[in-house]
Amino acid sequence: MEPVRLLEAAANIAIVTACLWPIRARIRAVLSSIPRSYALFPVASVALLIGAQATDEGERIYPLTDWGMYSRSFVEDPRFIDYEAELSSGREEPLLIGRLFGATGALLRSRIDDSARAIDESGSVDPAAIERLDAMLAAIAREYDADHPGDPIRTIRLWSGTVSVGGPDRQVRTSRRLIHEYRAR
Amino acid sequence: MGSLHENATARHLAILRVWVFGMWLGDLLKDPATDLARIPFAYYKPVGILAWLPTSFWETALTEPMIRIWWGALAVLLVLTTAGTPFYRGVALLTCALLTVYQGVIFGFTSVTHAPLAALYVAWILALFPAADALSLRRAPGRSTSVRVYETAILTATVLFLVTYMLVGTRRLFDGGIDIFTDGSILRYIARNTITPDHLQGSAGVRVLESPGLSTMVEIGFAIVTIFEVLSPLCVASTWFRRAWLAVMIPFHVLSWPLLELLFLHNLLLLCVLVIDLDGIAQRIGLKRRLERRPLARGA
Repeated sequence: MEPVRLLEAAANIAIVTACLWPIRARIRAVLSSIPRSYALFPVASVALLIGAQATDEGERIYPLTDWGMYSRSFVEDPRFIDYEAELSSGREEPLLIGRLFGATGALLRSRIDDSARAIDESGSVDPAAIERLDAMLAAIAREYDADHPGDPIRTIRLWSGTVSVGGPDRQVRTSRRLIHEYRAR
Repeated sequence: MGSLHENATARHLAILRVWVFGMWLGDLLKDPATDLARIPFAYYKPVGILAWLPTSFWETALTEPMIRIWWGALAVLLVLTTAGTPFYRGVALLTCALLTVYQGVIFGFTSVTHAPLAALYVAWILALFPAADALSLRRAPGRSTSVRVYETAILTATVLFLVTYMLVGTRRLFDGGIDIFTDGSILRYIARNTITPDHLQGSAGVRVLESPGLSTMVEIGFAIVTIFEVLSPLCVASTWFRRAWLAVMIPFHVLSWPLLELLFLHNLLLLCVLVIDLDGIAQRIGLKRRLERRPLARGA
């Protein structure tokens, strides 16, 4: 375990202790008047959360996790992946994946973004990576077509983009380039 | 200093049980989960304890008929637990185990997000403690050996809920330092999350980024929210801090939807019963006396 994580765990324990210090008499009275098995839960559960945070293992320790959220400085221009559908009618529209797959949709998108970025960044034509991405795009096309049988998807285009934030004129500028095209069968 | 959930009773804990498991039931019913079977299996990466199970298990478990079966089983278990079924503890623990798998499977297709985790932990606490000693289907609800067990349960749930906020805040300070509040990081996070909005067309985030005044307010707000996150456990001990915390956190949760495309619905719902002193409010407006005069339900 990294020293900074140990230090963080110590800080977390100190903060919990300090915040609950004003009601220490109440806590002592409550814990001493209930069966020991129940008295263990509060202490053990807080210790588990703080311990899990210290491991820094993220999803590998689910259902526990670490709680990093917007915790690292972000100084480069943000990048994004855009999904665009060309329909059988010739019309083009943004493909809103978040709306296609129920509760998982919005979250699923970040995983598809990762697959797309893997192709974009390596610049390679790794057939396995492309096959994996195309399998997902085929599933997306099927979901879309089920909702819009009259005008199904012909092509899905993936664009890799960059957002420039905080220029002198405060304008948000985006630029993008095509990185992948999937043709539905 | 005003202390939260003092003198909580079996009825208070039962209300929390109905609220939390009812919330999970609503969550389950709005999403039949069969969508998962239509996502290519190659995209499934089991998380945490779920990775202990072999791939062949998941290949079978994630077919549409199997998903329907475990979704149905979980729905039945959630109804029973919400209602305070006989053999409450066993049923509630089984419900929580299945709920953990359900949420873990969704995370397996996406990634572990914090949004539903506090609600999951509170559910486990309600399964471990005697949360069906009131407002329950049981003919003769049990009575715990000490009435303070109920207070312990609600206090544990509240502290755990608040500790999750504290952990987010301390991690930000340890990893991001002071720079993260001054280098425009939060504006770039907003840009990244909202430039291609899936749910919120119109991109409120971009409008904020283009306004110097709003951008500055967001950056100041980011620092203020972090301070309140770090001190979250103080809500249990201090009334004035709790009120200030709510005044900061409720707008933060509401605004994080259009600005960061993050909806912390579970936390907002939990906050209503764990951090807002509903009992104190009811007492002040005289509602509590009126309710106590009226017998509520069997076992209450």
